[in-house]
Amino acid sequence: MKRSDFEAMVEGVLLDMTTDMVERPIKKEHAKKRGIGGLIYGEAERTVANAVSRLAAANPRINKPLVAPVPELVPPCF
Amino acid sequence: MLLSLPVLAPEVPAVIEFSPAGERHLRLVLAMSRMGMILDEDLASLRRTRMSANAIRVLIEKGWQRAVSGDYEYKLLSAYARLILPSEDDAQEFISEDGTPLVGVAINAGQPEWMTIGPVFKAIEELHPGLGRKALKVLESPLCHFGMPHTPGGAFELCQQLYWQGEEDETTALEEWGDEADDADIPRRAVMFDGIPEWAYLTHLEGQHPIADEEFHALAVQYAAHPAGKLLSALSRLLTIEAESDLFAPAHDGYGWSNEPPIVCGWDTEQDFDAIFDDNYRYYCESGEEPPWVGCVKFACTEEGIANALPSIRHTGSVLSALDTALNEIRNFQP
Repeated sequence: MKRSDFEAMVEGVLLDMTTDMVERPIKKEHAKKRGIGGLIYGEAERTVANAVSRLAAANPRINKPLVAPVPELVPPCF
Repeated sequence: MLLSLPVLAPEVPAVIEFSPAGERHLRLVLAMSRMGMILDEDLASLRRTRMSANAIRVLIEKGWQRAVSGDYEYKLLSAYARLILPSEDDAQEFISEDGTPLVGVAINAGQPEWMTIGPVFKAIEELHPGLGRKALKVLESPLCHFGMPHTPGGAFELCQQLYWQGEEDETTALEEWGDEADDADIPRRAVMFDGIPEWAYLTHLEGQHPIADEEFHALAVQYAAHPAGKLLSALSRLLTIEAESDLFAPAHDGYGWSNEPPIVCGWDTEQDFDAIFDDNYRYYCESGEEPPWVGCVKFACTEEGIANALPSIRHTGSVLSALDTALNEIRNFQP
């Protein structure tokens, strides 16, 4: 291989590396919503939490434990 | 059914397997090619259609071997240089302050060689008072790059540090033992250096005028025909090369002094100071991590980077080569 061909080949690869780095789409990390103690909530937990939130908002003076709308799913804060 | 395969044109498609070779490899090989460190004949056997990471490494290796190997081939020393091409992007050791990726040529001592040096240096001292002492100092100077020289002078300094609270003998250290001093396990100077002349290990000798460098060169010429003449010539050359520049590969910043003696000297036998050197080694090991190299020349993978680094790499190799020659003369000495 001629020197000029060799150098052109290496330059090409280096250029590709640089272009790739510049043009590569920036990955945005999705922020993971985590609850108390690092628990990840699913749909069922969200339903429970919304219900608790509604009940609490309805009567801010409420002082006794709320009845969970889905008994088998106790929200973590209870 | 047999399928006829298409005939590919010899140069299409090009398959270039560069991925295992890091960016540093590619930048380095490109710079080396532009500087002429890679010969046309090295490139002749390469195919335009296929280039492997290994081929790149071979080109780099051949180029560096040609450029500096002459200074790194020794008869007695096992010291060596290695080219470090960090593949990890986070190799913090090899990134400059402005973020430029660097490579390095690192120097290490390898395995030490045990030698008896007393007879030849005594012969030189008898030939010309003060010359043996000066010759030892010249020998010790390059050894300092590897840590405390493992010579009589180095052994004495280690005794001061390890056993004698910095003093010239055990007197002060023994005072702490009071009436039990006789039982104290502290090495005595009279025992450790029995039969070894003071000029061989003391830095300052009262009443003796030290020989200057110029005088040493002149005396080396004057006594060239003496049985120790070849050693004096070799040491004269070592002194000259060392004085040419201060470009010896710099030591590691983050650690203490290295402790990689390329030679371990005894006076009348090879093991005269082994007990001291062993104690020092144990003490050194307790201090934690060792520096990864005795010296390392780091540079950017560019023509300018290589051009700036080569003088330091070559100077380091020249010093070690001159040291190796001197050590061979010590070994070959016949009174």
